[in-house]
Amino acid sequence: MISVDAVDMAAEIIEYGLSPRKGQSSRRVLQLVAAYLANTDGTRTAAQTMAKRFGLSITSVTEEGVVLSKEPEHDSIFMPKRDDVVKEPGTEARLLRGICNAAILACAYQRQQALYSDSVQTVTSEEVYEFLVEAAAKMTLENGEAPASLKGITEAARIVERMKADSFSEKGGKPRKQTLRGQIDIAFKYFTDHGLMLKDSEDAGGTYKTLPELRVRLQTEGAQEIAYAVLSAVKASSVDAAMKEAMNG
Amino acid sequence: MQNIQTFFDFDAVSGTSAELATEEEISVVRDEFDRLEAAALRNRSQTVATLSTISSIVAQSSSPPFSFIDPHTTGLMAIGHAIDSLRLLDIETSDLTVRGLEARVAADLSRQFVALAATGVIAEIPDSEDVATWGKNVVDKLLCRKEHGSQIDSLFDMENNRFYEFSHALLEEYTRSGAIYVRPTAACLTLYLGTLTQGIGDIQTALAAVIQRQIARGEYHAALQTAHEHQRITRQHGEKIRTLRRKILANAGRYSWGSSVLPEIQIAQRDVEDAISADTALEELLDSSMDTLPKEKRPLAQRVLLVIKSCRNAYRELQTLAMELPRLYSSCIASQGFASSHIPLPSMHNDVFIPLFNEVFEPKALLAACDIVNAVFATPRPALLHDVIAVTELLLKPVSSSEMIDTSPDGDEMLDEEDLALSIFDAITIDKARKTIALMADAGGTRLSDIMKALEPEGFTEESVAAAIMISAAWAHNRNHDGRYAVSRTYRRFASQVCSGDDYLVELKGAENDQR
Repeated sequence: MISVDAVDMAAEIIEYGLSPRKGQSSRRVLQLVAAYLANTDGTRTAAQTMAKRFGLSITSVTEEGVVLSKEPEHDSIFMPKRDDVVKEPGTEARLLRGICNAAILACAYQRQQALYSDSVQTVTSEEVYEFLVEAAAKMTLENGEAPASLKGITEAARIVERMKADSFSEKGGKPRKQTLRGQIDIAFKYFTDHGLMLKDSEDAGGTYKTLPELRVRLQTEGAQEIAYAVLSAVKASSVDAAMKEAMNG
Repeated sequence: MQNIQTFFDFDAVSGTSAELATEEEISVVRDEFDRLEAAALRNRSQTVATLSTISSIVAQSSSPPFSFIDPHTTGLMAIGHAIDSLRLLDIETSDLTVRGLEARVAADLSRQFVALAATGVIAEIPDSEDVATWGKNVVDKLLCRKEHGSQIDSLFDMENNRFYEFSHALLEEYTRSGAIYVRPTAACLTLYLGTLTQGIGDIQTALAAVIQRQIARGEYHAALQTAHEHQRITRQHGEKIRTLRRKILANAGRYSWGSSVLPEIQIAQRDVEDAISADTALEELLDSSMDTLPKEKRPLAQRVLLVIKSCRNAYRELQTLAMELPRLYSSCIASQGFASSHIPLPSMHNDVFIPLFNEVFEPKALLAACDIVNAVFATPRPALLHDVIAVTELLLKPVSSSEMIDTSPDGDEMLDEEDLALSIFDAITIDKARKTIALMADAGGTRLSDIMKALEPEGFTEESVAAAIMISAAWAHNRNHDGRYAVSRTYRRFASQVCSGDDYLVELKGAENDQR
C-alpha cells in the first residue's frame, strides 16, 4: 500500500530532477534519497510509475542529485524540442554545437578513467578553442595541401578553419557569436543552464567545472550512445567515399 | 602458468630447506621476490611522482617577496588542512571548500611574511590581495589544474613490463549539495602519511604495538603523538576501502570475483579486524592503568584513550562497509547488466572526438553524429505553460528588492541579447545611447536607422534599443530630445536584428528650420 507521504516524496523527487538548480536543503535530499533507495512506503514504486506516465525514466537518485532521462520509445511533454537545444535553425548550427560539445567532453574527460571517478573536472573555454584549432591545424598539415585550399580535410576541420579567426564585441570584449570562441561559449552556456556544469570564474575565457549529473548521464548511456553514433558516421563516411571512388574509377 | 604463485605459496616454499629446493622452486622464490620488489618500486615511484607536485611550487616563486617563502612547508600545510577537514567516520567527505582552503593558505603565507618582515628580510608585508593570489596559485598547483602542469604521469611497471597512467594530483574537487569542496586524493594520503612499502594493516598493527610500549613506559606525550599518527592512517585505510567500493560500484563487471575482488575484500576485512582488536587491547590497557596513574598524567592518558576510541569507532564503521562488499558486488553485477559490465566506457578523446574530427568526411554523416551528441545533453525540462494571463500576472507581480538584482553568475552579453524584453537598462547603457545620438546629430543631423546601424554591429545591442525608445518617446512627447535636438518623422521604417519601427530624423535645434 503506497502512502500519501510516499506519493508526495515521489513527486518531489521528480520535481527535483526537473529543476536541479532549484536547490534543496541537503537534509531533505538525504530524506528523499533514503526513501527512494529503501522504497519506504512505496516511494520508489510511486516515483517510477509517475515518471513513466510522463515519459521519463529515473536514471539515478543520489545525494548528488536526481538524474532523469527520456523513456525510450515514449514521447514526453518534458523533453525539449530540437529548437530548444539549438536555437539557430540550420545544419551549420547543429554541426557546430556537436563539434564544440565533443571537444568540451574530450577536454573535460581527457582520461577514460575520469568518467568513472566522482571528482570534479575543470575545463576552460580557451583550452577547448586551442584543442579544436590544433586538431584542425594538424589535419591540414598532414594533408599536405596549401592551408587555404582546405581540400581533403574533414567537414569538422573545415568548419574550425573557417571560424577560428577572433572577433570580439567592443562592449565587454566578449567573442562574437559568429566566431568559434563565441560558439564554444554558447555550448558551455547550454551545459551551465541545464545543471551539467558550473561556471567557476572568468579565467581563461571562462573556467567551468563538471557537475555529477553530466558524469551520470554519460556513464549510464550517453557515452556509449555517442561513441556508437561516431562509429557509424565513420563507417557511413568511408562507404560513401568508396562508392564515389568506384564511380570515378 | 606454474610460475604464477600467490603470496601464501611463497611462504610455504620459503620454509623448505635450501638443500631440498628444486631449481623450479628456487625460480618461484626468485619470481616472488622480484614481484615484491617491483611492487615496492611501483609504490616508491608513485610517491616520488606525487611529491614532484610540491617541489614544483618552487618554480612559481619568481619575484620577491614571494621568493622568500618556504614552498614546501606551505604545500604540506595546505595538504594538512585538507586532511584535517576529513571526517573520521566519513572519510570521503571534507568540510573545506576550495575558497576556504585558499584563504587558509593565504593566512599561512601571511604568517611567513610577518616573520620575514620582523627579521628585516623584506621591507614591508605585501598586499593581502597579492597574498591571496599566491595562495590561490598554491591550491591550483596542488589540484594539478591543467594550466599548472599535467595531472597524469606515465610510469613504468617493472612487474608487467608496460607503462601505465598515474594521476598524481594531491587534492581533488568534488561536489556536495551543489557546492564544490576539496579533499585529498588517495595518492596524497599515501604520500602525506608516509607509507612506502608496507601494507596499511601492517602499519596500524605496528603503530598499536608502539603505543602499547609507550604506555607501558609511561611516555604519554609520545603515545598521544603516535595515536594521532594511528588516527591519520585510519583515514587512509578508510579511503582504501572506499576506493575498492567505488571500483565495484563504477563497474563491477570489469573485475573478476575470484582473482580480483575476493582477495581484496578478504585483505580489507582481515586488516580491519586486526585494527579493531589492537585498538580494543589498547583501550583495555589504558583503562586498567588509569587508576594507578599519577594524577598529573591522567589527562594526557585520557586524551590518548579518546583518540584510540575514535579510531576503534571508525574501524567499526569500516568493518560494516567491508562486510557489505560481497553483497554490493553481486548487486552491482545484477544491476549493471551485460552491456555495461563487459564493455568499458568509451574514451571521450580517443573514441569520440578523434574519429568525429579526423575520419568523418561526409557532411551528412557528421550531422547525424552531431545530432546524437547534442541530444544526449537534452535534459528534461518542465513543459512551458502557454497561459497569457498567468504570464502577465507573473510579470506584474511586485518583486522584492533582492529579487530585482540580477544575481545570475553568467550575466553575459549573449544572455542580454536574448532576453532583451525583460532586462532593465543601466545608467551606462543609457549614457552610451545618449552620447551616440548627440555625436551623430551634432555632425549635421542623423536618422534613427543610422544610429542603429552604428551601434548594433559593435555589440551595443541594448544601447541601440535604448536609443530607439528614447527617440520614439521624444517624438511622441514633444518632438524634442534632450532639450537640444529636434525629432521629426520620416514616414519610413527601420528594421534591425532586435527591433523595428518608424524611422526619425534627429537634428540640432534650429538646423531643421534652416533646411526647410
